[in-house]
Amino acid sequence: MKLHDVRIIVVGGGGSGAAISHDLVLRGFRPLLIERGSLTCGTTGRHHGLLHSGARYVVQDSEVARECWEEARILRNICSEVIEDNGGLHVALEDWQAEYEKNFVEGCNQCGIPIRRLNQRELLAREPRLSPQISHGYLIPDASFDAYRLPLQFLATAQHNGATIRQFCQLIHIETHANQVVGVRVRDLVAQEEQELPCDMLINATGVWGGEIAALAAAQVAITWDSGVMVAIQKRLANMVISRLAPPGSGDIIVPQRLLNIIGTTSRIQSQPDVQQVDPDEVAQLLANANRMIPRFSEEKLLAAWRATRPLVGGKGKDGRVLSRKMQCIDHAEQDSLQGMVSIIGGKATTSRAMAEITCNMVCHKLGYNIPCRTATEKLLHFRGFWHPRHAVQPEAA
Amino acid sequence: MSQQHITIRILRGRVGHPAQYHEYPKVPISPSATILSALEYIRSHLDNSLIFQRSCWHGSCGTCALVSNGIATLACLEPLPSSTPLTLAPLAALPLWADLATQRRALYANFPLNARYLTTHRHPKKSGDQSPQQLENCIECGICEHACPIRGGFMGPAALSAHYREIINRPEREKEILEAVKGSSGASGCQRHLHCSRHCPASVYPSGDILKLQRKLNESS
Repeated sequence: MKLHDVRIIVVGGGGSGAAISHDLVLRGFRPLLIERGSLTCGTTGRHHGLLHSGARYVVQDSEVARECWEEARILRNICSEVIEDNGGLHVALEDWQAEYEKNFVEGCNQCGIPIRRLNQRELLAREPRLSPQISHGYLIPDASFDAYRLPLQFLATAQHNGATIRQFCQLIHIETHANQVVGVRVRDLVAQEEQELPCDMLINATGVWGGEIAALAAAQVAITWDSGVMVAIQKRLANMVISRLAPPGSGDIIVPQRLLNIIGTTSRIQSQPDVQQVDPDEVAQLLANANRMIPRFSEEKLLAAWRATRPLVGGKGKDGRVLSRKMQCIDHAEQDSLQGMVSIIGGKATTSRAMAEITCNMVCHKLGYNIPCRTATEKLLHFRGFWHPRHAVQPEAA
Repeated sequence: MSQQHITIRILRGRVGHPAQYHEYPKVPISPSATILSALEYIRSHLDNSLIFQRSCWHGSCGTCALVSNGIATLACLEPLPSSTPLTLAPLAALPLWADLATQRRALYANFPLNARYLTTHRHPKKSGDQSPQQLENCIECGICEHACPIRGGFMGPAALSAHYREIINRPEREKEILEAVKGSSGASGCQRHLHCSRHCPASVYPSGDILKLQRKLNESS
């Protein structure tokens, strides 16, 4: 069978689905991506936009830290046009712990993440609005990106190279025959009609909804729904990503983006994926913690407060903070004796390209192809190219 | 305490079918509710066929622009009003996709090709250091296009503003850009209604950019 004729359906138009479509097209396939709502309307778009250097995870989870550092460098190369690359600072508040700092420095060194110790004067020279209570900190290679337009670059490139992207197209049934996925039924919400689509491989990249989609084929995906609130103020008080030099907690990252600063993120295990409600106490907690890093942060005009849910791998009943941000690709043939379907869960926005790589490696292996991944070096097309073909060009370097 | 509710009327339609208002009574109001959270409530509790675009929930992606009680706004930033009913419709300046969703293709038809989206010119420092990088303020939501009363034969405020920003970001393209925006379909087609700047949710002020283009065109002629 020619690669063009292999019918691959990617479910989910978030960061991982976008990168998977791009990866598949570069390997020679012509996938169809279906998204129930609009692109990146789930967890992806609501992300605060922190391009993780990995420094945040070096003490708890060096594997994820290494992945982040590698992927952050790749993304800087393939889609620099949507990344504000102004670096980051990890800052020591009054209650900083020497032992954590020692582990942090060792962890960064072991993961190859370049850092530099800065004294108070050097910190304030870079970000004058930082609290004078901060004694010292570290310069780290964090950055921020447009959480919508970065995946849109993957989708623009995938579409230009032959992928089909359908929005407002809901998966409602998975057809199986002799323990093999053979097709799906979708509801086209725009045309208001149902369609049967045959497929040789179904890729479940639906993030927090992964379990619901897998259940349509009587398969399982174990996800913990860990939701977090973020708050945006209408002022750019810092140009760099400001993080607290401490184990990950609520309200310990301030991310710049355009004219805004975003303070994130809380952590709360949910019993369902769709939760929008933002509680005032969560907002108050975030703003109080932001004030410790940048005094009077909370006095600026509050622009928005919103909630996003992380699809964490496994770990029912545990605290979301201690659960790993690792990615996992599930072969449902091994887990549920169901051929023709894989699911990708976990991971982070920063590592979406790597999530796509392991997923497409598994898909190729299952389909009997040996085709290398090319996404680490292939520069992405302009995000506007997704909407208009005349803009489907590679952004010129600065 | 009894929960407060609002009735939301939504103009729903699609290509080839006349649009009609659908009424959704009993959408709950909470202090943190926005128009977008109300739309999500309708989709997940009342009618999962409702079509609308959304992504970031904080005024950054620009996808959720719509018309609320006659005024174009971002659904994610607009608090849900308590006065009932609330009437929602899609942006009129862009072709309809379905319900509240509009086609973005038309928005980009007149944008300059390969224009930069990352700029280093927003915060010039006094010292010789390189200024911080920043994404363009324009989130390409289409609200300025909706607000502009000039229809047909005019590039529109979003594209013209994008042309001006490209001159700022890449001065070497000035001649080419000015060539693209001359004439009555370009910068001189602006009649200074200023609605684009008044309604822009992202502090872009397209009318100011258009005026600067007009001045540059006058200087170069």
